[in-house]
Amino acid sequence: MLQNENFETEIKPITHFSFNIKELWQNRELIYFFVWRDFKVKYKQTIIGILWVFIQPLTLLCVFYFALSKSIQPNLHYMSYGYFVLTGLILWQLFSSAISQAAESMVSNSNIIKKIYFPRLVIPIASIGNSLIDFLIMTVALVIGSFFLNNHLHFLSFFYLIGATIMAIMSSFGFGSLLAAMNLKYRDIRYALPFMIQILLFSSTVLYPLEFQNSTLNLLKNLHPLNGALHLWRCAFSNEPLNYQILLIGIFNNLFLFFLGIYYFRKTEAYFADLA
Amino acid sequence: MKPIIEVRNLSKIYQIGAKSERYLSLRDRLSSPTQWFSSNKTEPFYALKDVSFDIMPGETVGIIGRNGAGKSTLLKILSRITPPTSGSIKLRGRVASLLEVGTGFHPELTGRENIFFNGAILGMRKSEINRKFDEIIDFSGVEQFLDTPLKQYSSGMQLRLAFAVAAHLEPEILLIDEVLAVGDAEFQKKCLGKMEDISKGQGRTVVVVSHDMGMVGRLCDVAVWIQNGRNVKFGKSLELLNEYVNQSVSNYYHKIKDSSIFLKYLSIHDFYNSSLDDYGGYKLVVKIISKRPQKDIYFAFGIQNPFNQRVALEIVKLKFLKSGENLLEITFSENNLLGGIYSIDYSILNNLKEVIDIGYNILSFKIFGPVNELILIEGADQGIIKLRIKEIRCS
Repeated sequence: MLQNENFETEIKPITHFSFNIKELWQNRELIYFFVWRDFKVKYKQTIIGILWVFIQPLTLLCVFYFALSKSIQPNLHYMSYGYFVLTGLILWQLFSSAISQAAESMVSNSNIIKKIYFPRLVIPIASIGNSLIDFLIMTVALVIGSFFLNNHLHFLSFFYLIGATIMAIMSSFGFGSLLAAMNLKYRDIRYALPFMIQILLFSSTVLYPLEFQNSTLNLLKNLHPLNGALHLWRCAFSNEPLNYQILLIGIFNNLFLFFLGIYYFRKTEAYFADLA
Repeated sequence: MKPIIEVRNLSKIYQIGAKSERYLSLRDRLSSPTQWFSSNKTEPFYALKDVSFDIMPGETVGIIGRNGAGKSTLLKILSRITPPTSGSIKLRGRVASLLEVGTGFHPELTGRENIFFNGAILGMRKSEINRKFDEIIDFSGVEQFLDTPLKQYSSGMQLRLAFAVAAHLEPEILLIDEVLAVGDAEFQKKCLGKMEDISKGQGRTVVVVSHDMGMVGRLCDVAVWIQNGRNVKFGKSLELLNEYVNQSVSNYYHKIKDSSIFLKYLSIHDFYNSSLDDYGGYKLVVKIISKRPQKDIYFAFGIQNPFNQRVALEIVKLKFLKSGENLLEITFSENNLLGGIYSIDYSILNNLKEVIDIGYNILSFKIFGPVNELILIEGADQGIIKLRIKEIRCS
């Protein structure tokens, strides 16, 4: 008779909270499979396939370049407007697609949630993983391009890029998993989401440097979940000196979002199957 | 030996009322102003209350009970999809649950890709899937369509592929919810064979929730009978099934039907005392209640084999029924059935068109077989009945 004392599990009512990293680690292969599936499905029945990764930021770049270049260039001290928007859009692409994919992920996988148990965080993590693939492709292209065209890359660039990526992942993952959990209960999120993403874009420094005379507004600007990461990100591509105030506010802000999202998600996940 | 599954005082409460809405939107809240300030006007509903039982390693357990008795809730808690409200379960082994065939199948992915994703979701490691890949394909029989997107498969092919993946799971505990109620007879037979192999051959513990009495009787040694969320009985599956079925006859059919004639009791004489041996005759005992004297009533019964194929349908004419209880005994001189679990349907008709009372799968009984050892050649199809040979001449 098969029995395996190593796998003793106890099912009890949920009384205390835990992040349960161990269980997530045991399911790392499942995360890989979710990312793999979504990646496979994403470009099925398309003609240009993976090239879509480049089309969206490049089109947006053209639009904003022609519309805003003249008026904004005088305010930029360290890079040309085209470069400013391109770098911004690539990080923005990671942030926005991670949030919107994570937010929809639980609802779109509800048939699986209702039938099989696994740590639920696997699903939003996998949707971040998916956005990360596109992002890495674009970033590699951007770094190679920068290297040959206007080499502002410096010794610290590499660390800045990694730091900025981690910050963007933390804030988008926190935000995304918060929305994903809420979306299961309140489907309003689905309708509010595109609108929220737009507000996040226009209140960020993706398209223009926001400089206010008013210090409250400046602080508010720094509290934007992507602005800290954006600052670090652009410092990697230019000689702009780091502004530690922006950076620190960004880091704390992103850490807070990260843990808030996971906390809310874990807190409500037990009842996902009943709500989905 | 410790039990592999220990269920202790398990309860699950669902809040019914406003909160049981599938999902809430702000609009729902806004559009019912009466609930603005009293959103918690819900009442608790016990889907399960104080259920306890133990399952020993290697046992195959059937969970039976009517619709809404809490079977599926129990299975959902066992497979950790939803948490219990109180009580606890201890599981000593890896668990795989099959609450649905083909969970996570994606129409855009090819058969090959779906095998990998579905396997991973069911808890297999990548190396494990690689190792069993050929076996899975063999079992599914869709080899030539492996690189075709799943959306171009017929539903039967999808099902075969899904079951093939599930059949190659190797957990210590396998939880199954009526997934076999689909597919053609041939495929069902294959699945049942595979399940028997998993439970009896490999010594794994299997928990099955099913309405299919034939299947529960054939596969399961023990059964848990749940009634209204309470743990009613735990025992040998055949005895419990019979009791369950008889109770169904007396409580269920006759509450919804207010007919003048109905079946009160039906049994195959002495079947669980194993007097139904290979060659002996057997007797069907039926009690029919009639509210007033009746003439020319027909009693029909059909027998299904373990694969849900009807093997016989007989109709007897009853010239006269007195008011009150009528005892009907139908004796068969020889047994033409192969070994296995059979189930009986019946109907009572007052002429050959009008049905007065009817019931499906109301009794299951076991024929001890095999009837002829010679037939047990590996892989030979035994057919569905046994012909009784009277004389053999060879010249």
